[in-house]
Amino acid sequence: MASKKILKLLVYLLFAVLVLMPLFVIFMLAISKTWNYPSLWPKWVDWGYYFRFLITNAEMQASLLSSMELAVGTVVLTILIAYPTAMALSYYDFKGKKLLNILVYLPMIIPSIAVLTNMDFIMIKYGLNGSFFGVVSAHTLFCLPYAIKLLYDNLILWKDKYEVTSRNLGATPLQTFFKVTIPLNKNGLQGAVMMSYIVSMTQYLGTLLIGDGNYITLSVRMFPFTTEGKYRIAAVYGITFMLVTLIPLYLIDVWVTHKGRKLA
Amino acid sequence: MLTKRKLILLLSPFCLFMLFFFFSALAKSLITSFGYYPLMGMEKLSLHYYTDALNDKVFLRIFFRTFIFALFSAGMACFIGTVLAFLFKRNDNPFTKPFFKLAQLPVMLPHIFIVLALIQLLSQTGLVSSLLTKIGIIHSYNSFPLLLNDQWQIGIILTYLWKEVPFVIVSLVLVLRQMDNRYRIVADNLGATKWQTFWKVSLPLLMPAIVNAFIINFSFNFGSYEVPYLLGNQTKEMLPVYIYDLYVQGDYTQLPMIMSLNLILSVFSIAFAGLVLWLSKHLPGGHTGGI
Amino acid sequence: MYHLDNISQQKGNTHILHGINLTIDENSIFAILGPSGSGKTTLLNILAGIDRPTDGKFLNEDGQVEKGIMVFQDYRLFPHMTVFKNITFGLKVKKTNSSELKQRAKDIMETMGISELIDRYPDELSGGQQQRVALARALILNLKLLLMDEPFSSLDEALRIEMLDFVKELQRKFQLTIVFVTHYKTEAYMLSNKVAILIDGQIMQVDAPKQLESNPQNLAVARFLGQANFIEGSLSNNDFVSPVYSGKVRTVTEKGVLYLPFSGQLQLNKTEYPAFKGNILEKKWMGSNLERITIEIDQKTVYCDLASESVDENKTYQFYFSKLPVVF
Repeated sequence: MASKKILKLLVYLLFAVLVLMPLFVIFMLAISKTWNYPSLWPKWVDWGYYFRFLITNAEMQASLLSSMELAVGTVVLTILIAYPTAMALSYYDFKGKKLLNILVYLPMIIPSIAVLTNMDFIMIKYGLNGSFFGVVSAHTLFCLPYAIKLLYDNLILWKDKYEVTSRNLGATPLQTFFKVTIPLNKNGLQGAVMMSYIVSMTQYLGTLLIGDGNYITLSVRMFPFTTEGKYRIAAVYGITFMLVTLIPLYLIDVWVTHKGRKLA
Repeated sequence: MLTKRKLILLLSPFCLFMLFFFFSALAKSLITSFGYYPLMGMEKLSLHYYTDALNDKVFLRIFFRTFIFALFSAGMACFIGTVLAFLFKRNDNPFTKPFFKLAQLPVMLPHIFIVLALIQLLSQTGLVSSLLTKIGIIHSYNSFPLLLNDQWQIGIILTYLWKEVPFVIVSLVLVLRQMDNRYRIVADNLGATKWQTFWKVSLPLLMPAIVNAFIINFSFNFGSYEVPYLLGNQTKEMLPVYIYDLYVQGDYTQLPMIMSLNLILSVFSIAFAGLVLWLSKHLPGGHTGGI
Repeated sequence: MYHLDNISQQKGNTHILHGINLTIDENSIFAILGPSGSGKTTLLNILAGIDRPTDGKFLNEDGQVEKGIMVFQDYRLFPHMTVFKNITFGLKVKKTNSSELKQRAKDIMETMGISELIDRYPDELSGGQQQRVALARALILNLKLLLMDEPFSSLDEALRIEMLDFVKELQRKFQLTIVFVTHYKTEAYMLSNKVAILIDGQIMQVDAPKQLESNPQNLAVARFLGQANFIEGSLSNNDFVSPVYSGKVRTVTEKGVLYLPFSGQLQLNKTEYPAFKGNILEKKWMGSNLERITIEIDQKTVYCDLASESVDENKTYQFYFSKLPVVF
């Protein structure tokens, strides 16, 4: 029994090290001036460098802004499309439901290189390449499968029975939606929002290709720095990425958890 | 309350979006792949782009290599993720909660993030190499094995594992928690040993979730560009890099050929996902799910 | 004979079961009846070996620990297995050879009348069919002790009676010992030879159904069984004083509550225990030639079941006790 426990603990420890090691390395890269072979530790560390860079570098600020704009736009568009779809899939039985179910997952199954080059091709035709809506649409396409699945799993728990109750008690459809549907399904909604945010923030090829270079987000900007060997600047972008991903997600999580009892 | 009009209203945003951006794109590339591209003065329909592609040794070799690679890396991620999910599903010790939070971290970060860390850690002049030099196992960075941009795609596999193992853990633990102990107790009461319960009850019930995770990981590994571009080996090119390079060369006469490659890729991926799902229906546990 | 020897169960700081002592006859149906939260399922889980008690033992005739096979309230058929796979699960894990396994499966499915469901999955079965499969899955193991958790609570009325009779038949056929828990007293009465009342983790009374209803041992049991008037009053010497009735009673405890069950205690025929004079306010037909009448005595109301047409509304009658009433 004891040896089994120790083994388990070792696996925990190994997993934690493997997950956290890259984070630690990038953190150290971002604050170290020189860190080259064969030194195991940066020659000297400058804690202020990161913040000075964040405040003064216009490129960084532009990237931050692009990332946030696209992420917020993607979350909004994704939820606007995914919510009604998930409602239809969970509440109704209709012809072609199975087909629709497969359709939802297609953007996830077809290799992204194929989806994106096809999409770029048609965006050029619509004149949407390089536009905000074009890039947000490309991101949304990849968010939809996750968002619909997460919302569906939540909606299917209760189906429409509490909405029927609410309407029966005299609430309008809008009141029902905001007072019954949303609160009952906030876990699914939270998951969908978070996942869309993550997918949009981490998107590289879609942003680059459809954006025509107009939207150089944090994750896009990390690329040239990495290939050119400017690891320190790449790491600075990496840390910024972590901050603007983890902090909002953490805040959403805290806000949702403390706003009333968690359901299901 | 559930009227047909409301259903149509609910489905229309999704259908319009897909029609506008996904299917029209698919249709356009389909037509183009048949050689219909009036912009370039090409108006004759033929299948020769497909037959050319399917006879192109270079393309087929790259295709096969990428397929084996995606299969292997997605399988590894699912295997390790499943083992860890079972190991850590129980709420019986204080580490489970922080562990689960920790597992969510890699899911949130972009691939480039881990690539950067791997370069600093595992390249020939990286930290591991430095450490081995310090303690005298190797003499100089030249004797450190090539782990990134190597022939065996080790760097890419490590990157995908770092991202995908946690993804598998997170999705399986959620299912395992929902399943709680209900069926384990029944099996136990009917005389099954722990091992029998695992193989006959827990694993089959989890199988649909594992298959879903596998398909998602496989498709990603098969068709995503950025990691093979950063950590791939020039002599062992991967399919997404191959197609992207062709596409951005800007040679418009090449477009029908590229589109035919895209469609071959798409049809293959759908067929493969379908095959995996079909196979999984015939495995124990198949009745309960799939996508 | 199975013995429950001083079984206690504690989870954290809550005591779920307090020193349960019971003996259960072999080849019989034994009911554990109690309100929800009384610890019934916990007790059953201990008999099934699913939970281990913090204290005490469950032993069979030979002084051995024996675990019963459980039929769960929600049946818990493995959703990924066909009916056949579900039924043979217990044999399969004991590595029974396949010809014997098939034969036994065939036999039990015939007995249960589910042969035609062999290749179906649980989600393709009705509630009653699922219960039969769950029973078959247990009975195929040639077990002696069968445990059932709220066996009929999720079936509709007609099916409930049918399954009740069926379970009785199975008990006779396989000479089973069946222990089941329920919070419906009619279910307990109809199925079992002996009923144990479990309230707040304690066995309050063990009796045949009829004794239970006429002689509850304390107020908690009486209140749980319901279908009775509870009249507050006070005791002086051996006499009870209340607005409804004052006079001689049999005192069980000293709380001063008069127990008048709706049926069997009050009557119009004269006995040596006069009860009260009361005005009939209302009559309600209860089916099977029975009426529940509302009697008003000094602005208090008392209910009582009588044969129909034995009284008229808005008339006053003298009532008698069939035997000396009990005060808790």
